[in-house]
Amino acid sequence: MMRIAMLASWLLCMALTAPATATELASPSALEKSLAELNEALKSDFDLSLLPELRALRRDAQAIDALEIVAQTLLLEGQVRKQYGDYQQSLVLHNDALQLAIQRKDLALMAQSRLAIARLEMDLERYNYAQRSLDDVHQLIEQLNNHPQKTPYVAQQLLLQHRLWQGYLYVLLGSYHQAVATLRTDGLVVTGTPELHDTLLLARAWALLKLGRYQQAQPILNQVAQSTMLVRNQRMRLRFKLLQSMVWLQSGDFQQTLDTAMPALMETFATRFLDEQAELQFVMSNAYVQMGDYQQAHLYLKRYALTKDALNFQKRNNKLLQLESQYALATQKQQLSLLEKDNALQAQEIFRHQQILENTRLAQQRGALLLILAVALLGFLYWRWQNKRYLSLLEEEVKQRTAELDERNRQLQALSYSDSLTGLHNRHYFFSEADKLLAHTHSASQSTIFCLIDIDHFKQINDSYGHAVGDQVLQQFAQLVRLQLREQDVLIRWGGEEFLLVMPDTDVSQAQPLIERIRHVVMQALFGSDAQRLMCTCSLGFAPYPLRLSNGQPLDWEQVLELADNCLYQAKHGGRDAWVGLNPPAQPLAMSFEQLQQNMEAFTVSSTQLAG
Amino acid sequence: MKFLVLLLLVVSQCAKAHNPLIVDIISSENFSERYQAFLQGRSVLDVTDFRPTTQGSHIEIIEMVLLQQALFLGGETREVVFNPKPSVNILEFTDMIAGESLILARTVWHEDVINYRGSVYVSDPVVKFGEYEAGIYVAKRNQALHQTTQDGLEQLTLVANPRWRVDWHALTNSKMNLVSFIGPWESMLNMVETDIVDGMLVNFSVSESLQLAFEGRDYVPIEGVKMVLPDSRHFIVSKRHPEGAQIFAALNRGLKELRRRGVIRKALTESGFINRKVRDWTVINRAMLPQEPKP
Repeated sequence: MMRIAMLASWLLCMALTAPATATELASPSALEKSLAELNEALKSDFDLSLLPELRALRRDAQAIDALEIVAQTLLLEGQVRKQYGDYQQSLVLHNDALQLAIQRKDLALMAQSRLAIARLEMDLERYNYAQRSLDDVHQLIEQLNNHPQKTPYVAQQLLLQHRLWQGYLYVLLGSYHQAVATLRTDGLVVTGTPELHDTLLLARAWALLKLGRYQQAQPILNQVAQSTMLVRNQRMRLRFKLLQSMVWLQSGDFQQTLDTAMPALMETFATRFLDEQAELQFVMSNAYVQMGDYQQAHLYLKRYALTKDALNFQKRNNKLLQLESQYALATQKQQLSLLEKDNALQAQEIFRHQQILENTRLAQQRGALLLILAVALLGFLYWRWQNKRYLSLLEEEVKQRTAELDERNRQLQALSYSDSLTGLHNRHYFFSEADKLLAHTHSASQSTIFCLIDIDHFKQINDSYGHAVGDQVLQQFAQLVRLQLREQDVLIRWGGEEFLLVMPDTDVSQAQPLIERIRHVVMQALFGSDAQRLMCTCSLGFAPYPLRLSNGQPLDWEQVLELADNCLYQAKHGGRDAWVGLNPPAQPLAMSFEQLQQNMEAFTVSSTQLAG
Repeated sequence: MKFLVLLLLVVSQCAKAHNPLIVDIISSENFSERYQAFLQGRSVLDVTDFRPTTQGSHIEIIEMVLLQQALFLGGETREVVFNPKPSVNILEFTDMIAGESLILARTVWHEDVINYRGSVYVSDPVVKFGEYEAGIYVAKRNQALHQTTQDGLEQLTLVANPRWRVDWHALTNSKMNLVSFIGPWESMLNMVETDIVDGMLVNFSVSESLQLAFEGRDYVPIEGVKMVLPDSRHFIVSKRHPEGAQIFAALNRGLKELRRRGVIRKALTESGFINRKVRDWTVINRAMLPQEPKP
């Protein structure tokens, strides 16, 4: 009745939407409504006559690209097909729905498809696969929970479904304690799905009955008995009655068992609910045997065996079909993988070509870069070379200039050290070279004689004959004296008409004849030009260096020169054309420099003394 | 008159003496010889030392002893006589349901009798849920398998009899592969020996090395892992038998007392049924155990 009403409403809905479809497409909300109705109708008794409507709905949904509805119709049809034993096509439909869900990245739909696949695997007793699917579902739910704002309700509902089917699987695997622990509704508030809630309660009662705890199962069944779902959903009604009969059986009320099981069994005959049918027959057989009615017990045991056999045959058949389809799929996959390999090879080839091109481009770039670098290097080297050449030129020039400068310096020094008139060294020369000249003069035996020579009355010559003649006299005088000197002797123009003769390695006695010769030669010589002959004399004063006084300190050369000057003064004072020399005793004199100056006569020798 | 009373007394005594308690037992299990060997002349009620005197499975003998001790403790002092019957009769419980058989000498799996609880009394468990452990036995010469790790178990194939529902449940809740075989236990051992399968689930041997010897071949358990057979074992008493209620009451009373005194635990432990040597081994199917209620 219910179904007819739903069908009518769906047809009405279709009729109303049909004219619109001609011009415009159905709205998603209308489709969703139809889907919900079909879902309810199909799940309650799996009426095959609803399949065309389901397919029509899918086409409509496809037309407006409502993929979620398409997926839902696929799942629904898959469930119907499963119920009628077409496991293979059912699996295909479930997988199609799953693919759609993956395509849309719809986690909830993915979980739903996976759940449906898990149920299918359970029906085929492929528990490992079922467990894998359920594990996937669990993961998907966790992912959904990570976005709680999006779909809290859907996630809760899926969690409940997961619990239901996980618990169901535990029962099938014989892990009843695990099943009881899993099949619970606590902590979840899911409204609007009474069917799911009741199914879970029934599964829990089933697990408890497997443990023989019929006392605990009964209240759960009582709870479900109040649900309206039992009126609407044939399968649940059957399962409820089966479980209730099991409770009666375990509690030992065999008549109640039969009274409950029998009508339920009758109801199964027009349906495909073979599992429940077999279980009911088994329960009844057990009840009959315990009632002592072995004939009936045998009958129902036989019926149970037949049903079970049919079920097993169906499962085996489907498993075989599945194996075949798996084989076909594997072959297809192999071909695909061959194609993929081929593609991969081609892609590899293309990639290789691209790489070659790329390499060539890179090589070109590298070449260009190297060329630029080489040119830059060459430029740099050329620049360096030019630079070096220029530098060496500059250095050469600097060297030349330096040499020139040195030469000029040398000349300048020579000029500054020599007297331009006489060609003799001047007193600058002596000042700069005195230390060098006196370096080896340390003892009296190696003394140096400082002899100052002054041309007598030179002023008169200048005044009488002019400066030119004076200069000529100076030149000739210097020449003349120089001729008398030994190799080691140095003659210096001391200033004006005064000359300094430095005689190294000479003591006073050795110096005297030489000095006398100079005086004598000068006295006898003729100076001036051929036209103007004149004679002149010179006075000489000398002193030896080093000279030690009482305090042991030697006199410095300036002081000795002063003493020589004092001697010259004496010579001049004594009448000129004479020489006076300081001839100190071998022992140091017990007097100061000043005292020596004052008492010089005591220690002098002179030309007049020698002559006298 | 006096004489008549005396005669009646003697007759009733004789009748009582010849009205022993008949306990059915599976005839194929060759119980008599092993039972006597275990008793070694002891009175069954005096047995306090349950250590095995023979190799091989021992639980049947222990159960026979515990049953008698329980009955006696529960007030049933009649002599117990074991009545061998074919296993089919016993395992299908038909005699028990019909009341033709009073009590079984062996415990049964709870799952096997849940549908018959209207017809049989089910005692308190002798072996509690989770106490029954078994090892995965492989051929001793198959050295490579002796140290199989838990991950490696997934690669193993075991032979199991789907009719042994509890074994089957235990194994289907592991990741090992199963080959189902319905036939004699010896053939299953042969399958292990001939490498058709890698191993099978067997009660731990009472031998020191846990080694199982059969027809000159040795089998050893994979070290470190064990499985729980997920059910409890109980004695059953026919409800329909005229003495059923009385015997069951005595039995359960006695069992409670034995449990209280720790005799049951002691018997199971000493006999090697609860094997101390594997106490620390990992239970592969631990998830099947009843979950501790959350505080």
